[in-house]
Amino acid sequence: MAAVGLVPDLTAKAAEQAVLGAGARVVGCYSYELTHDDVRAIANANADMILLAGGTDGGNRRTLLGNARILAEHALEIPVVIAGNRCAAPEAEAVLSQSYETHLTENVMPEIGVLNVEPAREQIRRIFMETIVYARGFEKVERWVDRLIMPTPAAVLQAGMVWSEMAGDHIIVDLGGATTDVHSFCSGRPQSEGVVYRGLPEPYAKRTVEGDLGLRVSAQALTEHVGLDVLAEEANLTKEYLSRRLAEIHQKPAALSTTGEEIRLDRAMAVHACREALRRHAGWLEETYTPSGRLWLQRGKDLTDICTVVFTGGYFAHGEGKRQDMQGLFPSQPALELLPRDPDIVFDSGHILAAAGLFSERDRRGAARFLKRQLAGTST
Amino acid sequence: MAEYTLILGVIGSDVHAVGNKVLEVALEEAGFHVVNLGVLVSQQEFIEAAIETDADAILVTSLYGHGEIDCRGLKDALIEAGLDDVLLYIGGYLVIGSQRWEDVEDKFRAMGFDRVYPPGTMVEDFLPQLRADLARQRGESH
Ligand code: B12
Repeated sequence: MAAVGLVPDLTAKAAEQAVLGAGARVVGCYSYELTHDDVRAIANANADMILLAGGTDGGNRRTLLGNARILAEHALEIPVVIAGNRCAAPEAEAVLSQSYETHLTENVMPEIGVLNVEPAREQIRRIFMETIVYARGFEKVERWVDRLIMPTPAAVLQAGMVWSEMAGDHIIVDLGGATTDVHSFCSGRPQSEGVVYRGLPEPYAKRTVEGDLGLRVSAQALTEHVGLDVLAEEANLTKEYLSRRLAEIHQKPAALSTTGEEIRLDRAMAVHACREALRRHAGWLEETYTPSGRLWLQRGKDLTDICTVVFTGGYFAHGEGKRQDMQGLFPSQPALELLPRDPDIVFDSGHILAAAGLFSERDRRGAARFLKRQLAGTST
Repeated sequence: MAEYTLILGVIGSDVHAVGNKVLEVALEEAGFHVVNLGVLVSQQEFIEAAIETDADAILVTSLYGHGEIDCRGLKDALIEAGLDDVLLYIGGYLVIGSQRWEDVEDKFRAMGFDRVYPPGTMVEDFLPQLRADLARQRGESH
């Protein structure tokens, strides 16, 4: 999906959060006025849908309407969800409805500092189920599936919501071949005195996606990030072996690791992917000095009080995850990065999170029991 | 929806919260749509909020004496952001010590503020002026 908003830190960020929270991949996040090149880039990226936001309710109209007009000139034949300034959205829909399937929903940011991504998320999920699956030629799926279809990340997020009702605030790290997703379920507000929150409020259920962190398709990008030398040393491999293995993974991303070397490499990569994805997800503190002394500004979510982190994905389902590796991702001392401190580590060893999330759409309590049975008892 | 949107905030590292809250309540009662950014507000935040809300005026507060430094370049940044027609007001304790008010006012006018108010200004003191300025600005830009 493409996410379009006005100011990068405000409605554009809110639009991106709505898209990520719906389980979609963001092919582009645009601010201010769209250009024809931007729209062409959206088309070239094969976006399945556009979320068009911009302006608080009663606020800026010009950008939403202008962007609707630019999009209308291109007629990309994909659905557009309009979630911008309530006072301009119907007009934007009128402009777009000639050439697009349009869906009007509530503003992702009705007022400055108020995030309202749930209606847009819901709308996106519905369109995904009703339209995109068919447009993509997934109708064959219908032969096997009679009711619910959901993108995997949305299902994982859903499972997290159900789990949070039972177990409270927690984090899910979903380590994959191409991306590493982090979902946090907590308010993330400042925990200590002398800390002032800055920026847009964060959603209770927040998802971030790191497209350069993964064990297979993104192995090369991850290695570049960590450094070939560092990774080779940590995995106790020669640099020559590592380069060769990366080329192999590139060619056969579906291949599993069998030899001791291959498994050691996966382990080192898994630690780095999870560490970096968590760091990018977590909020952080900045020091500032005022005439009355030092003050801390918090941006993003404070995760320090979170007691449980669930790790999911093929790597953990195959039982490769080492508890002490994952414990090592978290600081035991207060730090500027607001990561959980010494949380319990839970492995989704049955790889059931996505299934439980999907199932919960039909039977929430059943899904809750299922999650409890699968996840409880595996923690430290 | 209210006819006019006002952005309020206390600029820089200033934490004086009371006057800001008083202004918010009084201006809402006077019928404005008030977007209050609170204390510790950066220039950037004033500008971003004004863009999204299509604000008619920005009312900056500075009490702790560093207003001059905090406001440097604000007007230029507003012009860059396409917000040149947004009214820009400031009030509070703008400078340290007892400088002549006329000099203080001139200084802040030169920095691009449309109106500059001395310490202790009450809402009823500036409300008629604000209403008149807003009406004039609408008349000009439409
Ligand atoms: C309470 C107070 C504090 C409290 C603030 C608590 C809080 N979180 O709000 C604390 C103890 C934290 C504090 C700290 C400091 N303070 Co102090 N504080 C005051 C005090 C006593 C009252 C402020 C107040 O609340 N007034 C009541 C409200 C309703 O009035 P107001 O804020 O002026 O707002 C009204 C008008 O000015 C107007 N207005 C405000 N903004 C705008 C904007 C526009 C556009 C318009 C039109 C009108 C307008 O409308 C409001 C309603 O009528 C004043 C002295 C005083 N009597 O004013 C000093 C005072 C403001 N502080 C002062 C100082 C120096 C400081 C410190 C630097 C002291 C220090 N060295 O630690 C720190 C700075 C901290 C920081 N980072 O900001 C000085 C400022 C001197 C200067 N500018 O030259 C003052 C004037 C005291 C003095 N006489 O020396 N302070």
